[in-house]
Amino acid sequence: MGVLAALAVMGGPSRVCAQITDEPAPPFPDPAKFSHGLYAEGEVGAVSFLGRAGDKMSTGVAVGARLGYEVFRWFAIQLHALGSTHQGSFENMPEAGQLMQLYQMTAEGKLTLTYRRVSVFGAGGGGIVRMSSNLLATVGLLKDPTSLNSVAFGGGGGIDWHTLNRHFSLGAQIGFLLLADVRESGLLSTTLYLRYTF
Amino acid sequence: MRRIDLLACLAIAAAGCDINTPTYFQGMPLEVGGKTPDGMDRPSSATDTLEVKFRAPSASDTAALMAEQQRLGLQQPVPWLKRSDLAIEVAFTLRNLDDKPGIALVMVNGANEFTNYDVAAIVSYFNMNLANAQDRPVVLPLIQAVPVMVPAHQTYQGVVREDDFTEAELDLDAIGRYGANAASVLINRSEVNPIGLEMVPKNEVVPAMFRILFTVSADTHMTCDYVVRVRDGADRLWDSPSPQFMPAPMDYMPALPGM
Repeated sequence: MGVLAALAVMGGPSRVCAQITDEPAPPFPDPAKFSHGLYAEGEVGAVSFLGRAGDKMSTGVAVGARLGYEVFRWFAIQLHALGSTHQGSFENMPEAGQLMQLYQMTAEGKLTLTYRRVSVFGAGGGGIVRMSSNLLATVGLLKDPTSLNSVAFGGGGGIDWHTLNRHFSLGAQIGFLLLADVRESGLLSTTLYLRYTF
Repeated sequence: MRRIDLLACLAIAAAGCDINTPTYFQGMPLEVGGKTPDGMDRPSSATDTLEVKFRAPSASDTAALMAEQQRLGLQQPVPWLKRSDLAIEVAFTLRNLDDKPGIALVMVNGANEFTNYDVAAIVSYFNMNLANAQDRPVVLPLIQAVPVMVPAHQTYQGVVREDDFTEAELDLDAIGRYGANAASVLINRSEVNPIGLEMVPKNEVVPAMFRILFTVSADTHMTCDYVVRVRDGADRLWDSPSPQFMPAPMDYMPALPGM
């Protein structure tokens, strides 16, 4: 009888089956769940003149906005407007202390690399920068002294941090624009932004 | 409705771009006192004349000015360049190139589209017509800044403010078109003591200055740079394709004392 029992145990199936008790953990957060497509940004920061105009104008407070569309997760096109106000720092000249405002309007392409809730991006484009007065013409820095507009082009980059609310993210960016119609001068902008993706 | 809201926002933003947007006109640098390179004494006073260019009125603009004159019931024409539309300021920098401190004095005269007030011309007129120097009256400028002491090899920055021009433009109009006594109106600030302005109508449209005679005097060797800042609230500044406004104001010449 005992021999029969031993044979029954030994002669049974040798297969062992594992039991699945839980789903594999999904990546968190999953960027695919973030909103995607049309977006708007509001930004605040500072704009500085570089080059020859950098000696004449102070760094100024800037406020701006972007409106863009993500064609793919990794590529977007956007319109950018940024206004800033500056004070003349013309040493020992009558223009010292005079104020001037700048209005940047550019169209940009943007490449984004996203990992979880953090993205790094680079953007480049061009447009128009309008000055509120001919202050820079008085020191011979405008190629056309009668025009307050300058063609501008350049690029920059930044980092974006998603809030986990599917629409909102925060970020910081830095950009450089070369001013084609202001002699040997450019603009450096550094801003913090809040983004809403529709 | 949403489209109208968007257009309204854009219009407000565009209008905001033009708020406080001055245009700067650079005057010629002036140098007074000291010696010229060939050893001659340089005059202690120098004047530069700067004319701001404005666009000429169109036929419809002229008709509108005449209609405004009739509506206001004014005897004198309404100016094309109105004080209420144009705010003028002059910023200047004085440099004392001497080894000793010096005192500098800045004066502003000029013209509106009806009257030219040139102190140097008035003084010459008195000199020609009044043989006795003691009879010659003191001729006051439209605007006279407080004399400033500039230390040796130092710089002084000053401003002739918009409100100084506002007062000077009223005085110039009162002198030129309403026969006011120049000394009375130039000494007194009109809002404090309107003496001399009795003939000026209450609803007068005061003309703005378009020509600025900037004078600097000093008792040491100094240079002076200046810029004229104009805020144009009525799109009057000249732009290249439009015809330029070319007024021919009458020179103001006062009556000779005792005549």
